[in-house]
Amino acid sequence: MQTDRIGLGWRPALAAGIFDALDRIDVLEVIADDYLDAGSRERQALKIMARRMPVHIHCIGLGLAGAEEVAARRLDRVARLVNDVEPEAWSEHLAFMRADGTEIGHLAAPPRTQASVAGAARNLRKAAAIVGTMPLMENIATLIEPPCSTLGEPAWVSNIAAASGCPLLLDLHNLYANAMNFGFDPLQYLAEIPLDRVGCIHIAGGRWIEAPDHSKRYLLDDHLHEVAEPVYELLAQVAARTAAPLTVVLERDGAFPPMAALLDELDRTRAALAAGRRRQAA
Amino acid sequence: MQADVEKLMAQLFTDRASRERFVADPASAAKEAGLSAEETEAVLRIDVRDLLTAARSYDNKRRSKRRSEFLLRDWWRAWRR
Repeated sequence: MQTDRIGLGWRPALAAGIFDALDRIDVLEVIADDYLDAGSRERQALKIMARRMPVHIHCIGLGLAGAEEVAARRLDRVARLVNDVEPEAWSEHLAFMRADGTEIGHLAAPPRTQASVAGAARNLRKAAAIVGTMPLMENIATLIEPPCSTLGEPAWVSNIAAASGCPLLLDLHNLYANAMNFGFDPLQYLAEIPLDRVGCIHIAGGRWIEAPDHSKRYLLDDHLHEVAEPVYELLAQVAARTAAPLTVVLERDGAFPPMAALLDELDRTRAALAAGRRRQAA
Repeated sequence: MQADVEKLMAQLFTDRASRERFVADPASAAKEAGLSAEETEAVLRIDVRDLLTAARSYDNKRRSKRRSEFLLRDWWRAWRR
């Protein structure tokens, strides 16, 4: 019988600590974009790691929810990495990264419309055809509501999942940050998306920032801080509402604390999952 | 069209001069971007504070990405030795 699993984002700065704590880490998630230009030795190292434990490949740069058709050459590079490493799964974001030759450099939220649902579904089918499997697709954090949207975020995410058949990667800190910044109830969001399609969950931390004129505050999803208590509570809520085993990955991109602190966060994650499962059983 | 809106947003997130023009006269910026009347109305509702905060965040991300690419290269070099 499958059980819930807890994982950590693979970062070179954490390598020694991760190798010392493999008995407490069930899954590793590797950022694809760090390895698309890597040589055969680096890929071999990843493959060895993937044989030892489940590895997920996480992409950032494809822009699958953008209006532009995703370039086959970008997907070919991901396909080669996936083919070399043989991960358990691969994932991307519901975002656009570029438009008409302008590279944004990070994830941006496209207008949430039926047209962008259809465009994302087309890109996802192309991605699945070239890479070999459908990616898990992640909800993103945004500091600005995408203009010209006609759908709410949960409806937009749900429609893309339905139109493409993609599984979902539910990022609970992205959800929490958007809920704080745009004033909606994250539990209502959870009620509106198909939780049975969630194949993986991300948790992370962030910090409050101010607008340049100091008139407004935003929760920034920076992956540089510890996971906040409301995110653990959202995780417990998901665990209480879903029957399938969950894989939860802690993302940390810098300002690394001692490994013991990250392992404590993984323990806290297990506890939140267990609390949710108990609520479900009650 | 979605592509025109994304093109405008990408410019606003990455180019300070485009951003300043938009903040000063969003209707003209939307017209230059070829947006429809409905799309223009939607971008006129953008909260400028959100736009400026997002643009600052993207700028920080791009700088941080360049730094981490150097760190990753150093790590692989050390691993090879």
